[in-house]
Amino acid sequence: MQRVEQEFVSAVPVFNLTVEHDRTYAVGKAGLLVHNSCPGKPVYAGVDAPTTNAGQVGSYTNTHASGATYSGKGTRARSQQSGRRQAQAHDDPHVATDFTPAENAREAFKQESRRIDANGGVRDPSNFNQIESPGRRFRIEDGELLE
Amino acid sequence: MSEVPAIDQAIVALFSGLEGVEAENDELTDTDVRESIHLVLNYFFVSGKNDRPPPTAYGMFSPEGDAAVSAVVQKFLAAVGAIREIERYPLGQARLDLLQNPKLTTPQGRMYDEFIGHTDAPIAQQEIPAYLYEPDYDE
Repeated sequence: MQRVEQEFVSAVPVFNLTVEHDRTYAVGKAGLLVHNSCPGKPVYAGVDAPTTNAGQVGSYTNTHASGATYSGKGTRARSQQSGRRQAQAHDDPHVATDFTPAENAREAFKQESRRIDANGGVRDPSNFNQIESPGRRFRIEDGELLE
Repeated sequence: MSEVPAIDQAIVALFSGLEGVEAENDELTDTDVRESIHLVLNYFFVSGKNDRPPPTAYGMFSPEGDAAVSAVVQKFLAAVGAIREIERYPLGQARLDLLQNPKLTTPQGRMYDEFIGHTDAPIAQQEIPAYLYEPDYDE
């Protein structure tokens, strides 16, 4: 498998399963391996389990049930941890992730900044991001944005 | 630069310390971690609140990573709190401007925004998010 694409359809109920102490299990006809939520914490399941190149840096935009978004720089695993955090902070389940790999950290920062801008910027109430990315400065330095 | 070299030195030590943590933990500049550090500094240094212990969960991928970030942040808060001249800088924008000084760089020449991001004004923050005290590590 080289790449997984994901499409948001709608918010759906999720369940947290532990079978005989195993928290990782295969689901669906494809036998996709998934992991449950951590014990003792609210069930805000991830929606995009890391597959290949789990350590590949990139950028992501998580969409929550209310339609609010949160964009960031990091790996796919980060995008899921981030989704759980924002879900807990805003009581707003994480329902979809869009992830794009980047060549390096600087490009990932720039992607993150573009994503934040595309979702209204840090002052937009439907965007959970409150803090500008360093990618904004990198975009200015590289001539993409005017200061 | 500020008018107080000791404050600048504490800020450079903060970002240099975080840069040192990154050497063993690539995730240090991930958005979750960056924003966590910013929120903690905003609460305790920019807003001057001191009604609870500093958080211990910054969104790093391991307890060791979180402990390393926590140590750097707590060292900064203690160091800057011991500088009498910090009182010259009122809470709010003046404190934020101290942190977001582009002339203060790490040994690798990196600026504050890679470690804490940037805001034009202090974030209105009444509480510290609960997740900053609740580690979330993949098993």
